[in-house]
Amino acid sequence: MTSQAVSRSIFPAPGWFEALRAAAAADAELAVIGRWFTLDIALVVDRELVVLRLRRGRIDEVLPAPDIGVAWDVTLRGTGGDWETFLQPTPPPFYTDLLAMNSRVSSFSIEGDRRKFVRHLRALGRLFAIAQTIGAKDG
Amino acid sequence: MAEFDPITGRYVYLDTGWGRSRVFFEEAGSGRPLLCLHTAGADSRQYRELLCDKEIGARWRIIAFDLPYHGRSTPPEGWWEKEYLLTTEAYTATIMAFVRALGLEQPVVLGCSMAGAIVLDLARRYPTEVGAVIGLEAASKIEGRFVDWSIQPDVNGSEMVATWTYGLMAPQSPEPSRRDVWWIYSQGGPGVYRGDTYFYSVDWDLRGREGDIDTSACPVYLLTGEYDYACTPAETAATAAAIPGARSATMEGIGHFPMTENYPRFREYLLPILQELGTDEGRSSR
Repeated sequence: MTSQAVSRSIFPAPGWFEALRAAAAADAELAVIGRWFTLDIALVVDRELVVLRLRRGRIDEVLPAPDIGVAWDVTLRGTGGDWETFLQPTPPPFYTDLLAMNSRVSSFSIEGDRRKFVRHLRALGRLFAIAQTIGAKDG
Repeated sequence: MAEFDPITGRYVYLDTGWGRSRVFFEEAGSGRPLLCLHTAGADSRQYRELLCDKEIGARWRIIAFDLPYHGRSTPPEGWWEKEYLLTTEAYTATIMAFVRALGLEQPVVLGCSMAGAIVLDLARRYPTEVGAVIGLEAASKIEGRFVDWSIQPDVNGSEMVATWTYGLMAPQSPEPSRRDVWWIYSQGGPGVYRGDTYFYSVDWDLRGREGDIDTSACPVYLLTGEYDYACTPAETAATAAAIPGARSATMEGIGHFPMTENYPRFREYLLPILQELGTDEGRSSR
């Protein structure tokens, strides 16, 4: 064993989403703004897919590798590297925000019902700001 | 004992290409005029910390006004029958009308984002009336900001614009300051941010005309935050390189709203420029 632990990615493992679910449920701001925050989003990480069902400001359900019958509203698609760079409290330029990445990171995109994404921009911004505090790696 | 800011606010009536508007401005300090122009969809509150900076106010008369349609400045009568779309002509004419109405001599004009762009037009067209310009988050051409999202009936335009612009800031900037930016943006009139970005992202295009600016008559300084993804430091550097004699720098750990999101950090970049430009005494010998 080396003296310095190598940080290991914990995203998008199920435990990471459970941590996000708990942090979102405890967040005072989401409690204020989340009443109408209801939509389904898919996070694509390289070839992995996870669907989050968001209901009234909370993560109601996490569906890793959903079957063919599962539908959602908005897809956030990026590489593992994109997500790891984004999911930290102080990301580098162009990785601070979903719209920043959509604008400046060619491998990242916001797809699907983008009107719905814009409609829920404030609450989505808060949810992913919470996700950034969790980070993508342990150690 | 009550605590007061050193700022006083007044209204002035301006006749512009839009018609007659009652325009709010606030000021502090005394000395050479430092005219501060707010960003798209915002107002002069963005300069609160600069206006309260007593060290700068000891040598500069710091003035910030709200464009018509913004903050406490009224839109001209009949606004409800016209789509608000800011143009280069209307923007420049309004700023110069304000400069002349207040009798500002050789002001240094500081502008951010769309105002960072327009100060380059002031330097190009009014080098004898404008003493120098400082453009923040400015480049010859900005793409992608003019969209209809904020005026669609199923979108809360107030929250949408405030959140979209919130993402332009650096994560290192203090959260209360970033939230101030959000709050100011949330109070813009409907369609005003969109109308401003018509200027910033559609009408404004300095490409090929940068060399028209004579920096020996009107010095040009360009500063851009490293986290700005609407106008990147590389885009600003390219514009500065095309303006002979222009000076530029990248502000580390800052995003698109330097004077509001992290004033102490921004001040480190602003002070040397103001010292270089001097004050009343320095100007008379220039």
